[in-house]
Parts: sequence; C-alpha cells; structure tokens
Amino acid sequence: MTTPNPKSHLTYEDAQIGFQFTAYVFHVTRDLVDRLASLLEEDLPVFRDPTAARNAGYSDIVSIPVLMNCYAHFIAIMDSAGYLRPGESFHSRSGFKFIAPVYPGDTITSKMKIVDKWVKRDHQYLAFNIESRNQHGVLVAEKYHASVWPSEATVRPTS
Amino acid sequence: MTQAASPAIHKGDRLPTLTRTITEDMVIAYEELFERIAARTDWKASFHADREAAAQTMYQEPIAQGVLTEAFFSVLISRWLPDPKGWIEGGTLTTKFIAPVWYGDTLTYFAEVSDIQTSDSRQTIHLNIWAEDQNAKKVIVGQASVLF
Repeated sequence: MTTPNPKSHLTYEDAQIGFQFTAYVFHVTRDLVDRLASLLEEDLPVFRDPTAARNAGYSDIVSIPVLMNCYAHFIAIMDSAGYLRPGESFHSRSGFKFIAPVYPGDTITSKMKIVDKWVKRDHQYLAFNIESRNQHGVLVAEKYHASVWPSEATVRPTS
Repeated sequence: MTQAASPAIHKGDRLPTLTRTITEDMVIAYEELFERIAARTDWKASFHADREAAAQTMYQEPIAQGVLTEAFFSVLISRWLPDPKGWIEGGTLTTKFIAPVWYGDTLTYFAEVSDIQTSDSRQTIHLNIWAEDQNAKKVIVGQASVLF
C-alpha cells in the first residue's frame, strides 16, 4: 500500500494492517484550545483562565484532553498522508488515554497506523492507533479508533 | 488491590448528569476545527455537516460526529473531580457508539463508579459511562477511569 497522489479514498480493500501513515505535525493554537472549550461549554478555570491554570500548577491553560481525540485530527492525518475519508465511514468505537497536558503553543506530532480490519454482520471495519507526542518528545495521548469502512464499490465523495 | 476510595467516593456512586442538545451549528463548528488543526481553508464538509452528502449515506440525514458526542464525557468527569489533573494526566475513555445522534437530539450523560483500585499511593476510579437521547435510548456506552 503506497501513498496515492493525487488524493484518493482509502478503501477497506486497500487498507493493510500495519500500514503507517505519514507523521502529522500540527501546532496547538490558543484559538483552537479556546474554540474547543467554548464548543463543549467547558468552563473549568484550568481550561479557560491562564492565572487559574498557573495556580493549579500548569504553565498555561490546558487543552481539554479530547482535543487529541478530535474528528478533525483524524481527518487531518489522513488528508496529509494523501487520503480522503470515504463518505460512508462511520465511527464505531474508540479508546483513549490522556497522558500529559497539551498547551497552546505546543507542536504535536501524531503517528497513525492501521491495526486491524474485520467484517461483522455485513459491515467492514478498520481500526487505527494514533500516538501523539509534543515538541519535547513527551507522549501526550494514545488513541484507538474503529470505524465502519466502505469497500471500493461503495465509496462516494465526501461532499 | 481493590478497596474503598476517599470517604466521599464509593462503588455505585453516580456522578451528576450533564445534558447537551446537539445542534447543527455545533456539528459544523466541530468540523471546522479541521481548519484550525490543518491550517487549511479548502476542505470540504463531510456528511456530518453536509445534508447532500448525508443523503447518500445509509442514514440519509446528517448525524453528529461520534467524537463530538463522546467529548462531553470529558466535561462530565472533569467537573466531578475536585482536581481535573487526574483526568488530564492519566484519564482513559473507551466508548462504543450504538445508535446515531441526529441534529436536535438532547443527550444526557451518565457515569457510575464501577470500581476503585489502589496502587502505591494512587487510586484509580473506574466508571461505567453512557449517554441517552431524549427518548431514554442509549446512544453511547463505555468505560472511563481517572487517577486520584
């Protein structure tokens, strides 16, 4: 399995267990952290108020941990590796471990690989692991993500 | 080793519930985080935020992103803790999505202490978690854990 160019849909048939996507690097901006907190109506001071966060022992406000579980994060990793998510892939289950705080200004490198694929009750599934580290090499989060995934014949545009 | 946690926490305890209505605006805003993460503006909306694309799926209508609907468990749990550190640095969250969440659905998030484990000087609180829609139908089930 090679990275296609131009972008193509990742199909169930094309996916190979063990395939490692291109490492994805993104910068955590204060705007991103604030937007997620606002969207979730999370108002705990450590997520919103720098002074309160420092008083709690953090260097700045902390991102809500689920930032690293964000739908956009998964899509961005696929996108940067040259793949489009098929229009009919549906999130089935996920597992997440929050390990270290993520701050505005951090640079996160996420590595994703395909860890499993299976068929159950006429649905095909792909499972992915994502490991994310900050600019100091500290592991900040691990994620397992499984989705119902279409075959080549059923792939439709995402928009 | 399993034993009682701090005097205030016991197996079987229920956390205060959290209720959120999942709106179309919320789904779109969540999807737009892609622009912030990918620093891109040329992306196209997925079936979650695009009714025409959703019409081609087996659901035929847009459904909320699973990771959006599960994200509220983070709010539920961090508000319950006296200090969210044990969630930010050591929390776990495992979920299974068992029914679609539609625009306008009102979800109530639940959690119940299922076990309390002590190792060295730390305690791990295990939770059974679930979310129900306005018809009391479960849409997400799972487990979470936090460090004390």
